Amino acid sequence: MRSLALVVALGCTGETTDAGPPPDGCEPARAPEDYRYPPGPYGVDVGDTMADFVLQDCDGQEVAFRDLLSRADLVLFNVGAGWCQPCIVESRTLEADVFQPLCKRGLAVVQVLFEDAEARPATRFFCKSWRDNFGLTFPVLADPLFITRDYFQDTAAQTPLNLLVDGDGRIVYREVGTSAEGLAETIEAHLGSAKTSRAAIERDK
Amino acid sequence: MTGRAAIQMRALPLLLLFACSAEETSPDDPFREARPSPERPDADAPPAVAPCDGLACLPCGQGRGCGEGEPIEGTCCVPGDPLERLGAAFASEVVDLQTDGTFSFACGGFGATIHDVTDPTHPVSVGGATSRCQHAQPGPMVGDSRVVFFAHHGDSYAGGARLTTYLVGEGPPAEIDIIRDRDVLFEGMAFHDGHLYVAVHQGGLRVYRVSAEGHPELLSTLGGLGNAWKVEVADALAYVVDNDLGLHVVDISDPADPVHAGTVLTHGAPRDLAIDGDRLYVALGGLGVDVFDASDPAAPTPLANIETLGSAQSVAAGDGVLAVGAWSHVAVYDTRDHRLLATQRTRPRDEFEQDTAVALIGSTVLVGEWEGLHTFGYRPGRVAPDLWLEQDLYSFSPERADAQAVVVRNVGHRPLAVGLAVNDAALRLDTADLAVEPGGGAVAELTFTPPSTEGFARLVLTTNDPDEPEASLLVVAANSTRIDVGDRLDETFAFLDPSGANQIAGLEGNVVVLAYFALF
Repeated sequence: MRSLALVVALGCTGETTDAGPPPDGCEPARAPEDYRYPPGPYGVDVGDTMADFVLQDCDGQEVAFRDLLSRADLVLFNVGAGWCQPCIVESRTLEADVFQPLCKRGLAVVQVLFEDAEARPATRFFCKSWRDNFGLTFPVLADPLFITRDYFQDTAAQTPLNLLVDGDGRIVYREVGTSAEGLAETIEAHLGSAKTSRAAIERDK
Repeated sequence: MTGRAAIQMRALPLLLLFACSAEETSPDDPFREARPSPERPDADAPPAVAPCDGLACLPCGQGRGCGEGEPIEGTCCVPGDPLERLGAAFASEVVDLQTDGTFSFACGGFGATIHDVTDPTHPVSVGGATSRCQHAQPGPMVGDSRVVFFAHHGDSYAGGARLTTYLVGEGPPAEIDIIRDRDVLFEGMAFHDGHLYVAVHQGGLRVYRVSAEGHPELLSTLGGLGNAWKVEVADALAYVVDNDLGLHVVDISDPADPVHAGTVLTHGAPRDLAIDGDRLYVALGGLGVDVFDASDPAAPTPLANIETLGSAQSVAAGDGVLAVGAWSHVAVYDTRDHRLLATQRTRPRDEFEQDTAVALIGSTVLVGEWEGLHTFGYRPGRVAPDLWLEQDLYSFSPERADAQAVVVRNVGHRPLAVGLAVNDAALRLDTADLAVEPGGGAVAELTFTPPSTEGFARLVLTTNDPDEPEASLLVVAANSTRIDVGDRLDETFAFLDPSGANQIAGLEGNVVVLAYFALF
């Protein structure tokens, strides 16, 4: 029996964007020592509280979800793979259309890659290449053990997955399998409805 | 490339499809057990994995036996390989394996092989039946001899499809009967209460009355039942595995008049069926094992789906354990909670193997694979680390720097320690050792920077897993059969020539559709 893998590299090669630093005030940071992560029970559905997790970023640094949640009103949790065309399409716009304009209004973005363009477990090598090619300044994490699989809820790991998580850790929006249409508008609506904006509090200080 | 490497079939990324679906399950699949929610972060919580990992580690003397050695922390668990390799013998391209407790009957590409497995550490060949056979079924005793039936699809050496009957006892097995029917393809069989039940491909279920001398005589036929492939019997019901659909339940309270009593859908194409008490276990290849509650035997209801490691080809159940032959390995699960108890490979990683058939004699697991019969002893209470690798072959393009994740999982119940090394200067590992907790995984990153010295290298893992102290994996940095848009087909693809001449030139000007096929 012969094994043929028809591989068309649809990865992000060839489209390099100069990432530069994230906007002021949007840089990654550790959660404050006294930050208490929202208590469980945890779940994966809209209305559930999202559990914390730790993964390595493209440079091998550990990033915890709590680091993002502790300083944001809303976190966009995006999971994708290098072989996933909608993920590629989406990643072309996440930085410019979503993160850059909204991070100062309390949005944090984290992208998790579980496989590379050849459906192999994601490496830091691939993660770096993806991040640099799309010019992403928010945390991009490699998930070679696919620990984020639970969030797909057995929906056949259809990618991409987008969850919006409010400052209390509650999942307020979920889209799986396709690029989320009007994602920026959806995020804006949720940011607008946030009762207590950490960003606003910070600004008022 | 070795056979093992040649059938490396983990990733089949038909990336021309943008459907981005990694599995073939339905969102509202009734079989899927609820996934546990992600771990909650709680600093005060006990370690996620306690010693023995809840493996019914009762105080010594309760429940499962302690086995030998010193118990771990006052529990019944003792260090040691829970699935101990006992013995092996030659068998040929095994696709079905049955046992009567004394003999094993393996069907395969070069006929049947029969072993005396009274001493599982030393299976003794007692002969066989020539000509390819697909299914075996032990029948009644005739004097001191065991009757055994073999279903043959036929081959060019020994003729067409037929059902043969042999006597196995003192001396070589002797053929005593043969049933030929050019319109019938005999498949799996079950023997119950003096009757032989035979699944017939696209022909339903045939019932034979077996005479006192062991000769089957056709008694009745029930048509339909789709792609009938295997059959198991429990009391007055036969469960016929329909390879296209699921299980058909047939009332055989009157063997002369079998009646179709219902159909149960499985959530994938069933390969094998095992019955243990009021539980049915259905092997579904890459979709694992469906478990049915057969408290109402005529109307089994879906209970759970076990997501197996590898592709579940065959199942056997009894005495609280479920054995699964899963292509590259055999795995044993606890039937109470479907917990994975142990895995065991039958051959080193580089050697070709297909574990396609399993059978149980008490706690002895018989495994039929491509080149042999293997026997393992399941030892309840023993715990050990258990190495599980997602990939056996790492392939790099020779021209381009790249990296791959070496994913190491511990499916055992004690911490796993792994040392890693590569023997090519073009390859670099980001770590030389990994520690993996039970139930967990760890990753080493293997980076390739061209040029490679030889094009081939070895990634060697040394472990404290008692049944796999060393795993040697092939790393290839050479052009392979992988093709990309814009590539030209070369002589590597000459096997596509439908004329059999193996000429790539013959393909010029044709539209060639390459479809990935794998038996999952």
